Amino acid sequence: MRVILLVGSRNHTLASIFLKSLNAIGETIDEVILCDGVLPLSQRIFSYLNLNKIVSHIQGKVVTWLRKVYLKNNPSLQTYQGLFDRWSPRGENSWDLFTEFTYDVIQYVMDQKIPVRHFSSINGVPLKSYLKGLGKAAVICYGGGILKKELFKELPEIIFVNSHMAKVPPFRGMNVAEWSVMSGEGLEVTVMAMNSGIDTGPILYRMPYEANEARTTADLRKAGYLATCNAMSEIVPMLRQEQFTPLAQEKEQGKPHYCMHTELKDQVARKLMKGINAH
Amino acid sequence: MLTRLRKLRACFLLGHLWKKPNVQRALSDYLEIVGLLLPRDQALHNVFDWIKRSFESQKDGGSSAYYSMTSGWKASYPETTGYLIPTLYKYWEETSDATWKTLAQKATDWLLSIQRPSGGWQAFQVDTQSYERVFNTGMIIDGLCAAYDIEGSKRILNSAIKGAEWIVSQQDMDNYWRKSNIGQGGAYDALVCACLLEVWKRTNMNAFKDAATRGLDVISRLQTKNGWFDRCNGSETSHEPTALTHHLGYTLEGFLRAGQILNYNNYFECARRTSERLLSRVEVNRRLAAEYGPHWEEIPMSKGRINICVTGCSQVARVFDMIAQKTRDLRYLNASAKLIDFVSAVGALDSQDQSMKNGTPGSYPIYGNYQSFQFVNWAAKYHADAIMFHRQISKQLFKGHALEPHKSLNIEAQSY
Repeated sequence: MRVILLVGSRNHTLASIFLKSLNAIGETIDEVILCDGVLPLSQRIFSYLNLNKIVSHIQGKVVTWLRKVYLKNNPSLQTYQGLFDRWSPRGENSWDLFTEFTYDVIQYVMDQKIPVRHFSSINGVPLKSYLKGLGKAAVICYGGGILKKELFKELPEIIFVNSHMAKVPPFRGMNVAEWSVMSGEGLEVTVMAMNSGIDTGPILYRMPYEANEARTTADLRKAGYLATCNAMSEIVPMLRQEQFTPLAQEKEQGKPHYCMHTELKDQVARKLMKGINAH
Repeated sequence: MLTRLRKLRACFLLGHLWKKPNVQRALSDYLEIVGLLLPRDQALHNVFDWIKRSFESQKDGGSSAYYSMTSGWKASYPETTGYLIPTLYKYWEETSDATWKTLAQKATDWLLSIQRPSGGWQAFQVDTQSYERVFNTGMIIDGLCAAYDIEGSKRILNSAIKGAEWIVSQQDMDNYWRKSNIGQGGAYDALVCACLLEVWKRTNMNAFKDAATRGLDVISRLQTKNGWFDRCNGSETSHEPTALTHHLGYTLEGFLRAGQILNYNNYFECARRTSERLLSRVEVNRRLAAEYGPHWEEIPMSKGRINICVTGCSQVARVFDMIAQKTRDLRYLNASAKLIDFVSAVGALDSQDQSMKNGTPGSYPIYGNYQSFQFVNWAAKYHADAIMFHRQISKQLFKGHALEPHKSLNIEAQSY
């Protein structure tokens, strides 16, 4: 089976860590697809001709300007969006945490002479048509956006592979490493074939990991990201030789977890300060 | 945008809204600007500061229903004054400040003085002519039970019993409360049942328990398979059925409290089913809409506009914490913290108008559909309850470490 790496514009760092792990075990991938989100010029011009878009664009600009002026005169205020950022994953994504990695994906594929293709969107027609023509393939996903549900029906021969830094089914969703620590569960990477649900696809591979050195939630997430890359690289040979047994999971077996509020993250940090295995 | 501007213009034409603080408030809500988060203690202090003002604005011992940006303080509202009593006592216990106990005592005396010979209490504000109403009476007897626990006066308990007897007398043959009730009764009467059980707990008068369980059993049948409640906004509505989160909050609190008093898991499960849906709405959409349709679709104010019932947010936050307490499922505690933050931030907008300052609005934005341009005392009550209960549950679940938002994480005002 062909193994393809799909990389979103913001996930180059994580993809590069994965490639490094893959290289270390003497493996490689067959192709790289870069989804950079940039539309071709012709399509961009066409999209700007939409009157509704023009109106909403101007409206947005006016509101943003008014908001800026208002906030400048009232420093004790914040935007509604700013309030909700308190529990967004801001500052804890791979591109925030791994600033020291300089293993360039583009350079790597050029060195290894791996074919690269550019597409604007993961859900766009061009990528869909391209994948349709490939037949059986495994697409290792590092970002690029949320896949549309229809895609899984339209491309039954493609396995979209995703890695997750906690046990599934118990910990589906967001901030799962933190939720695992909070509940005292062991840490484990789950590699899944994606389906229309959130972290509900068949499980392909599981790999426990440790984060005993982690003293902050950022340390914990870093350990989690590294473990996902290692697990993902270990599954590549199995995918290539189609030597894997997907383990189906039922929706009811787990609960979705959501972005953790700073109040609870503080409790996780407190636990990490004591040591992850301390009671 | 045009719809928004039209609505704003219509409201401004009412005249009073042209006052500077009112314009400021409407503009900040239009621009989706909220206050910075304060430490929870400070937020709580501010809410009680406003609650105190709502009492002081009236001379009868009751709390004003709301402060309207167009017409000022309204008269005392028996129903919400009733359910403010446990909130006041709780804050008195926390702060040892006698002010709050005195307010609760005065409120109790006032409510005893206006009880109708039938045993019920009137609907609406006290200056409005009205018949006795089941739901309002239920909320008042809940307050009287809390007052009885602290003061130990038989006079208070007897008044609560009289009120409960009147509620039982109004129950229909099929165990709903259609007559003498808001919107001809609805799912929210689950909370009336819980209030009857509170009286039963103190008196052992089984008539109250029987009426309450019969009521809860029929109301639980209004729950659909997906956890939504039919007749959530009452029975007499001619529109498509929707569920206002304020009413959902009453319903869920009713089932949870009843389940707790009777140690009956089915009522808890009933509340949990709905709460699981609300949890995903809060987390995925990052807001709790004012109203939901039968398939949990948001009912928008106008196209794409946020319309939030602030009271509903606080009530649901408290419901989430009650579920977290029972199940130790921290996802509920997490979502509750977010809802409390939201209500604190919309209530933290400074104002030159002292009556608006630290008030909790009925709607966000202030020109939203529910209690437009008003700062309501029941929103303040539920916000205060939510903060105090959240703190208590957090302490329990984290063995003494009370949770407090990261001050450093108050995101700076930013453009986007």
